[in-house]
Amino acid sequence: MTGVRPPRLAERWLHVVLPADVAHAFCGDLAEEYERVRSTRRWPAVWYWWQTATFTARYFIEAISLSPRSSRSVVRGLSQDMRIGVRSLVRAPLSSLFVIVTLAATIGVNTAIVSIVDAALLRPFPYTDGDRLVQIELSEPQKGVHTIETPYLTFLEWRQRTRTFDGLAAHVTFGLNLGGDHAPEPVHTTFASASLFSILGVEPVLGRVFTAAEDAPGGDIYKVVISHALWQRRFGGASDVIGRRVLLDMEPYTVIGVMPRGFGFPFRSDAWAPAERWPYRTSPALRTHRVVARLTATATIAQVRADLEAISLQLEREWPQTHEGLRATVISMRDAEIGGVKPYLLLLLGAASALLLIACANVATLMTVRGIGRIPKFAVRRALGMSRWRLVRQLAAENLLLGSAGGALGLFAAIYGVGVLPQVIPIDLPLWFEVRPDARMLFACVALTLLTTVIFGFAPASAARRGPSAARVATMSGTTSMRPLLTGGQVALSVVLLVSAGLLVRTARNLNEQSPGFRAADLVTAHLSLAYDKFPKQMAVRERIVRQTAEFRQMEERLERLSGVEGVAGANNAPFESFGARSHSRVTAEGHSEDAHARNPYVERMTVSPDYFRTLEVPLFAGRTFEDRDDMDRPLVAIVNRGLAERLWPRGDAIGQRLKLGAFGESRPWLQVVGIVGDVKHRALDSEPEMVVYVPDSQSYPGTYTFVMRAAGGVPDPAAVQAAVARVDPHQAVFDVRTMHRSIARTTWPRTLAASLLTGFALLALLLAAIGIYGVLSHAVAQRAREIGVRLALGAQVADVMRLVLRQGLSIVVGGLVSGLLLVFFVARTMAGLLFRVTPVDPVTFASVCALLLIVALVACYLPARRAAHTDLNTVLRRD
Amino acid sequence: MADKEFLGEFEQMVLLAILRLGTNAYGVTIREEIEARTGRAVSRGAIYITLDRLEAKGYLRSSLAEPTAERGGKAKRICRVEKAGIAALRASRRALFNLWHGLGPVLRDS
Repeated sequence: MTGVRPPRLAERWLHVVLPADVAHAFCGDLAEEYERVRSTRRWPAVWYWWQTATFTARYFIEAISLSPRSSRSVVRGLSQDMRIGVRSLVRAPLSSLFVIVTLAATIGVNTAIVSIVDAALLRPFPYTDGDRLVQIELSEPQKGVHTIETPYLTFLEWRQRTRTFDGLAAHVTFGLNLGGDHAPEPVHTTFASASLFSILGVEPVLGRVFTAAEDAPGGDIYKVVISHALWQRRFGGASDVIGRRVLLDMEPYTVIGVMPRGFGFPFRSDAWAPAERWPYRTSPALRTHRVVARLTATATIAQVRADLEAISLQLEREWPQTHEGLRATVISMRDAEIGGVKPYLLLLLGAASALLLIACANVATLMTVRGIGRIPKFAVRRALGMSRWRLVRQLAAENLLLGSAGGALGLFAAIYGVGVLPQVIPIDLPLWFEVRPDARMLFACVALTLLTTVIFGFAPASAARRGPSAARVATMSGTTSMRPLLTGGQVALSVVLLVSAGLLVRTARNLNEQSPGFRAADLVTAHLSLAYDKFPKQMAVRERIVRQTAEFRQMEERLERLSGVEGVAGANNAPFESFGARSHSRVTAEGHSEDAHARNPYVERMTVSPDYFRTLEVPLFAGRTFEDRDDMDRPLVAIVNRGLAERLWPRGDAIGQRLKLGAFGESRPWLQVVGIVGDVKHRALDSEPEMVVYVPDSQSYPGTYTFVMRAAGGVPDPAAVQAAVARVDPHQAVFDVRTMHRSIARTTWPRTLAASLLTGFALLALLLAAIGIYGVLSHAVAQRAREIGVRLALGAQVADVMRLVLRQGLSIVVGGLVSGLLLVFFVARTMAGLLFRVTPVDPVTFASVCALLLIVALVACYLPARRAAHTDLNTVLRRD
Repeated sequence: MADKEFLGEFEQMVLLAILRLGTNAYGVTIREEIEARTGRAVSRGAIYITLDRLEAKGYLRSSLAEPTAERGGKAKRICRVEKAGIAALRASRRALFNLWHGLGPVLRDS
């Protein structure tokens, strides 16, 4: 023979699926051509595989379609195969049931995960040419600080100077009170640049969107575009809604357009109004707006980065006070929306695939064992003239039956799984993210089923293919020598899954053990959006604050009377909530140099009621908390958290010092520090505590207000909360009454959900591996029954025989365990970013997994070993 | 049956190619012959399925030659056209000729 052999596996495949004579001649043809192809093509093996695949497909398609007679006979043959298949499956109900349940579980899991990954990462983004949409964010590399939001003024500069974008739009979302004839209704309203809609490539279904002229200083800004849902809900889908007046935060807006169904950018907004309308937009210290942009058709990411870097440097030169060290960074819109979940999705996808392989190995082993038991039957059929091809077809039909049954059940499992998804995820998913039973899910399920059937069916079919001749039993046991390898592989993959799950479980536990800095149990929050123009425009700020504070105190009093509520406080925003805008700014301590000021951290300014610290149980370390006497007639006061106090006044003399917010030298009022409280985390349990300057709500006017209630008696009825608030202000709507636990879960859910799913997968994998070990050993014991019987008859001890079997079983397990540990060593490294206070090579996790696996394996080995030890030679001999 | 059923275009091509190739007609050479003469790409699957069908109708007979090392120890499936095959080719040609006859002026330019 000349040259190199063609790919053996492909040849083998052809021999398995094609009639023998066709396979023989065709493989010869391919081998002949392969010699020529090797000298002319770079990857002759790819060519060979391609020919194999296309030939197989063509052969079968044409066999069915070209000749009506043969197609009829194919159908007849198939239905006969299926009938025989059903009969033989029913004859072994237990193993059939086991195979079907195993396949259903793994195909179901895989279909669900693939569908979720598809919805999140693969489906086209719902905006025109969505892959060119990016979000521009702000970071300070020197300080390691990154914020998604940008000051509106900075956005305006970017928009003016950039060259690599077709358009930039700023947007910020607030809850507004939709008034009118109905009870006040909370409406998430996005104040956006007019270019937002063209950047996203979305057109209204009715009317128009606002123009650049309307979104400019002095423009007619009281225009609103509403969502399809709000149009239906509030206006009954009336076609004459355009031109109607609505009251948003008691101000009249004209409805000019209705957006298409499913559009809720940036998230679940119900209304869009010009960005120029948002009244606080001019403060350079407030990072409030998100910026979305569309890349020009030719711009590359490198060009965009260079462009933004140049602009950042210009701004830094021109406005050092507000832009020093600030850099604009860009990420794709898809990553901005679901980037945080992506690694978990990929992890789960990997885990599900591993589970599928484990299940395939298990089923393949079982089917081969069944095949061995049927050798005599096959031999008889062959002797009666049944072709080998026919035999393989029959086995394939059985596999297909099992696979289809598993796949069909799996599809139901997947539909159920993605159905409960919204209930186990504590956040509202983006409107565009939708996983529902559809053609894509069905396709995924069918593809997975076929793939699984081919994988698990290959070994038994190729074994049977070799033909049940007399010499075949030996060949067959050649195939069975593959089984310990398959089982070892199952053990290895189970180790990988168990360790990954263990690491995530420990991460989730470590997270939950983190204190947020206050007692989260029994806390319930409810949000108010305060109408900016609630009080007459000519009213002095001072007067507004006094009147608003009085209202807050009255509302708190009424809320306290609700059943189960023990204490009520308020703040412009609550920890772990993202309802109101968080304002971050520079802080200046009195007497500090400009250099020292530059090193100060960005602080969050929170407006809180006097009872805030007491209600949340944030400890007071020095000084006092706010009191009712801290009103507009008294000096302005502030409370800082301990971390900030230590940064600004390391000598521990913070009480009585003065600080002010804003850039160095900016004329802002000084605030006197009257208290130091504990550090509180605002964003996530694994984040650093926030640096906060608290000011009393009686000296500052918040844009939003969140009531924090200590309610041991459970979550108060939202309607009762709304009623209590409306008693004081009938125009005030209440948003999102929910527990603090849920709010915290909103930040931890990807980890906890991934941890529990992965644990489920890992335990299933362990169970399957254990069954695999048990199966392999049982079969080995049955095969060696005569030998074992002789040994026992010759005086071998029960312990000797047990040791013999256990050694065989444990060698498989240890082999799998070692390869699994080597494998997981690399896999766990890629997980490092998802872990919290656990190293990827956490000894506790590794040791526990090894111990668990060995215990389970011992049990799986023990049962066959015990059976072997009680082998009775007489019975064996009589059976033979 | 052969009188009533005419050969399909591809069946004719395969039979004609086998006749042209003489004693060396098998999968590879048949495909190459058709591609060379007609300029049309032919799939290997189509050749095999057509050979199967023509053999089932009794138009050709195939036999396995001696295995060769060049072919990885596999034999060639050498094909020979049977008398019935030649008769079927004739019938098809006659039918087509009768249909073509007299259309010279119409088809001259095309």
